[in-house]
Amino acid sequence: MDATANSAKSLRNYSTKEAWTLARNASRGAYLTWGLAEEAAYAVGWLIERKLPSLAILSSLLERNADKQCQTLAPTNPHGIWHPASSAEFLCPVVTGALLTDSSQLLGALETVQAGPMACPALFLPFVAAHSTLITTPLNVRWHGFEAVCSKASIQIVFGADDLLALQADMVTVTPSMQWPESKMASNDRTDLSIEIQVTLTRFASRLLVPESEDSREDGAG
Amino acid sequence: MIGERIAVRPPDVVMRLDRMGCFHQTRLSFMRGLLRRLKNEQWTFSRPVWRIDNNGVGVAVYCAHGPAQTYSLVCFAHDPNPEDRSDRSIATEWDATFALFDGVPTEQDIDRLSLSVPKQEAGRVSKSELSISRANRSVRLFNYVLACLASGSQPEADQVSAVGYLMRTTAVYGSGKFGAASFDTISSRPEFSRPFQVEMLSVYLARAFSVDLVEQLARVRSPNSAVTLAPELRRTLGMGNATGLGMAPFLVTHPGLINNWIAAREEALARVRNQTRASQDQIVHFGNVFARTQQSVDQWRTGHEQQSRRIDVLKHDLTTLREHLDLTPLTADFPWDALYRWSERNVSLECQELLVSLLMEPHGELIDELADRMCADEKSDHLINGAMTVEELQRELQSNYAWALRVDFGSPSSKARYWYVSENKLEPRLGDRTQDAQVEQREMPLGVARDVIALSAALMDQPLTERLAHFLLRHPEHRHTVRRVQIAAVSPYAEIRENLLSSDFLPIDLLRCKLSFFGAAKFDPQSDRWVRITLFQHAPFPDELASMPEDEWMLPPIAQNH
Repeated sequence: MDATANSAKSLRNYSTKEAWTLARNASRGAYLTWGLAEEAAYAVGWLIERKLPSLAILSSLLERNADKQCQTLAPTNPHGIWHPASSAEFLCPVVTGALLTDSSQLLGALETVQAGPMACPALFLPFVAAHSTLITTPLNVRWHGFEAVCSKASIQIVFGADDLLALQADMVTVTPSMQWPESKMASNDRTDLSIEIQVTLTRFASRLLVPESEDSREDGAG
Repeated sequence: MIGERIAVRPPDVVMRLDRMGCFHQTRLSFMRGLLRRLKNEQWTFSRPVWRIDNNGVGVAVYCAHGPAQTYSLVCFAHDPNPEDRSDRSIATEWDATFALFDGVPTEQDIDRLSLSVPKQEAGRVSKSELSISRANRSVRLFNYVLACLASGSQPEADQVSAVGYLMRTTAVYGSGKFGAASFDTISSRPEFSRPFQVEMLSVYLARAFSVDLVEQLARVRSPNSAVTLAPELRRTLGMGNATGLGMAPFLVTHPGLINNWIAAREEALARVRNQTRASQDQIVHFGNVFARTQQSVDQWRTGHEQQSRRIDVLKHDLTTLREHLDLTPLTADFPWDALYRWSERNVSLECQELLVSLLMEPHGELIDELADRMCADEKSDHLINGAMTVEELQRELQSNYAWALRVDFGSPSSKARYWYVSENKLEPRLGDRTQDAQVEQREMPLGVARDVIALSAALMDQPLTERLAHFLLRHPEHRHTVRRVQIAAVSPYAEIRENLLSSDFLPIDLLRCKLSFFGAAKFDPQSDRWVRITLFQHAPFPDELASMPEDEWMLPPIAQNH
């Protein structure tokens, strides 16, 4: 069997709903609170709809941060440049993204946001897009080797599409853009997942599962 | 009263489990809405594939042809070991498995589906499939009807109505599960603009299959003498359903959606109550459905002791209501409101909520359009307003969560339970907090009252002018609760106002509420956490939908001896 066929066999096609559920449960199992795990799922869904890498990046993030306290991966101060407390850590893009959208009405429309260093910055993009919608301003987002213009509905990659898979960035900068991204309907509802990524995410998600016992079967649901 | 509109019932009245657990189907239920659409849009139906062998095994395809699209239920009939037949989620074999296909399946599609659909959760389907489901025979009734038809006679109506279905679904999965198409991809189609229409269509077509199957087997047994079911008798067969805890968390995990369901129902009730007069047609219509309802309740059977007592009380209350109607005709001003208010003072919750359903029946033109308000854009619920201050959030808690703040979690019974997901079947379960390990890590976030109290306590230490964005940065553990509180601020019916961790909590109340919105009838609890129901009982079959009166079917006609 050739490499293409082997590769195809090792991929599973997920619906957005399945990806959302897996992302949420894996994120919760790894280290995020339930509320932040919902944000991770939102981010994955947004990326899938635009045919951008999603669960693979989340898998890398969760492996990197597993069992850490999410406060250690958060900006220490919501003002000024957002950076983690420890120089040994990288900001979590989900925690940082949640702060961005939470702060939308507090930040001026012309305000620059700088956050770094950040792990897996592609997962920050959906939050930039949501922030753009809340302040009704298109936003330019960049890190070394990557630049894009975002709105809620669209993202236009200016350069560095390959860098979406970057595991970290020294600094992510968000500034108002002079123009809206090219409008493109987000219509994709499927994503292919390799066996390796499935195994990783399922491993984290399974931390939430409780093994059955005869008592639970007798006592349980249908 | 004059000039002042009768308001919708407040959440403190409606969003209590003792009342929600008494909801009945209404005109707004998803099943009723589906059939109104199928009839009004003149959908046609065909069965292009019937390859069921003499043992009742094989494949069939039922097509529903709408104005813009055709949907096909691909049915696989099996012959499982009787010992393996089970309604439990641990089952791995069923009498029939189904997939609703988006379009008309080719033979290649059918072959592909034959490899995965019979496996249900263990298989994978594609975005061409909108749902997968399975069903088991109600063995005694199925075999009884088979024997009668094979012998050339019709089954006894009493025997048929005692069960009410030949087959019973144990799960209907839509919305992107197991590889199926996500709801987002089809929600813009008018036929799916209301909730659960995919699932309802699947069950409607599966019902037709269940009858065709028993008739086929009767022909096999007695080719010369077998008959088909008489149309009136056939209509008394619905599609059964067995629902357990797997469905229960839905009402908690979709606050925006549940708000819209109940808000539509309450608005419908309010519109009816605000009618200044009742027309003669409406009075006759109401009288007709009331009589048919009384008859239907007389036929409502269950082995569950508590439900049985409720039915007895309901029968008594319906008699009381009948006597009241005889003394107080509906000819005064605001007659429907007067009747509703009378019920609040004189009959049980079960009867009050049944009356809510009955009040809606003669008012289709007034309320049916509210069914279009029952979906929700849940993605827009995800954003948190971080500019809100601690003080503002505290006001929201006092306003909408006073019910939660009163719960005493110092009492062990108030936190006796916890919700988790089982490893084996990935289904929600209710566990005992004192018995199980690692509860905190594994617990599903359904303890809303407890989480609200924890949030309230955390807020006490914060400056009143502190922004939630900054509070949540330091306290991410409260994020999901803050989101819920902000949703509830604009969605009054978003929260079930009960402690779902209490040892007193009855999951069946959650199930009953949700199933009433599906259009279920004849609730038959098997325990406090799973229930059997019937869907589409008395509904016209696809081949007679065009010729039957619109939306008159949900109750049987009055029997001559009733």
